[in-house]
Amino acid sequence: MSYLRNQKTYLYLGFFLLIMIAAHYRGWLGPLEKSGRSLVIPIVSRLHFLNVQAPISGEFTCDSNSPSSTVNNENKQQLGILGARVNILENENMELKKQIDFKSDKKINLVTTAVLGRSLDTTENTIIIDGGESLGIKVNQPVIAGAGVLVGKVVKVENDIAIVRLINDSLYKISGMIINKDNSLGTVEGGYGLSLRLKFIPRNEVVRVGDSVVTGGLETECPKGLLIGTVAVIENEAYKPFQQAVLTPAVDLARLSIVSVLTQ
Amino acid sequence: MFWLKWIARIIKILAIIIGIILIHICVLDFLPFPFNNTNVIIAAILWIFIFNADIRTLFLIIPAGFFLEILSSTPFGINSISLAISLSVVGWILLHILTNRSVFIVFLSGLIAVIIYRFIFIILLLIFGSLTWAALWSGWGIITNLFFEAILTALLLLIGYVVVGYLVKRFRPEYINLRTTNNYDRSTRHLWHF
Repeated sequence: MSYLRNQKTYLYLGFFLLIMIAAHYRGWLGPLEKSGRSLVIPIVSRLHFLNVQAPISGEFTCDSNSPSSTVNNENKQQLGILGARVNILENENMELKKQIDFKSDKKINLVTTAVLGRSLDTTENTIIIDGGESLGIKVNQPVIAGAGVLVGKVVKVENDIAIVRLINDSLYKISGMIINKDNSLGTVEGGYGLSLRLKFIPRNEVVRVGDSVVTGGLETECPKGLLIGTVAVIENEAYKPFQQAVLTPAVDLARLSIVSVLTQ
Repeated sequence: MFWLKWIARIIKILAIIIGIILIHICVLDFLPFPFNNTNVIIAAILWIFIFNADIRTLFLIIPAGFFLEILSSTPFGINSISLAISLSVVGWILLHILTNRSVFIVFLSGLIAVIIYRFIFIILLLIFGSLTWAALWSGWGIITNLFFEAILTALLLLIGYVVVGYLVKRFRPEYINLRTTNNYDRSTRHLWHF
């Protein structure tokens, strides 16, 4: 009896999954997917905001053991919260100014959006941004932060959101160029936690710690010269045909709040 | 009355799934690498399955898979299929082969679930063209992430199992009676092998 029930459960599970997948590709799940997103994205967004927001500075903290009255402590707490908000708004303002400057300098089309949070993929470094097909965002378009710092590329687009694969993801690869005497070319790869690696640099070219690395421009979608990071460590082994460098990304990829998509 | 019972059950399942996803997002967002590789969704469903010993727990895969699909970068269906196959296989193993519930078996079930999940996930990505063999073998990034995910998920499952097992033994009346009266007979023997 129990054996039969188990068999039925597996069959029903498979059946419901197939129905769900078929309904998605037929477009019947659209309203349900939209409701699901509107249920989960505010939570994702709120948690991401908590992660991104700057810590409250020491001057706003209050000592609960001090003899001052409770009202005074509450006021100090309110002041602390307001101070943190001002800090966040200042950071956002600076970020937007940088992106506007970059846009006017380079004369390119940018779609600036907020970062809603990380996607639910465990092993992938991907983020959800607040803009999709309706804003002209397409798959493979590069995504930048600040004044032209490459942070990733669009890998999936829905009507109202898009998913961006960050440069530190193990599946992200792009040509990189070191700003040195030889303009050394290599391949930038993610998948090493917070750092990146620039591989396949010819051994005879001189690379120094602190050299900047920019996009090489070998891909049709990504323009040349977007900043990726700086060289932190150089690995040049005698028995290997190429040298490689560990890079520190130019922005903190875990604390992105506003990014722009280069729509060309 | 019947419908009310069903509505209550659906709300309960949704609340469980949203709770699991909330913890999953917290782990992804707040923990540093490699701890953010922990797959809370697999650990939680497997944990509920181990404690309930009910095959119907596997139906949690459908809402969990749905939420994973709408907020993930992979083509729709890959996460759900991988999750369903891996947890069904582990569920079958736990019900028919590894029927002992020692900490080693719990740890092993977590490892097997994540390894099968990622294996099917990668195969489906290769079939759908979202991943190429060249990208798969060009670096150790994917293998390293898989290693951390398997170990950390199995550890989370193990910790959950041990902590809740301890609390159950400590506070459930059956155990308290057994400890105080030393009334150990065949009918309650299974409780001592928790």
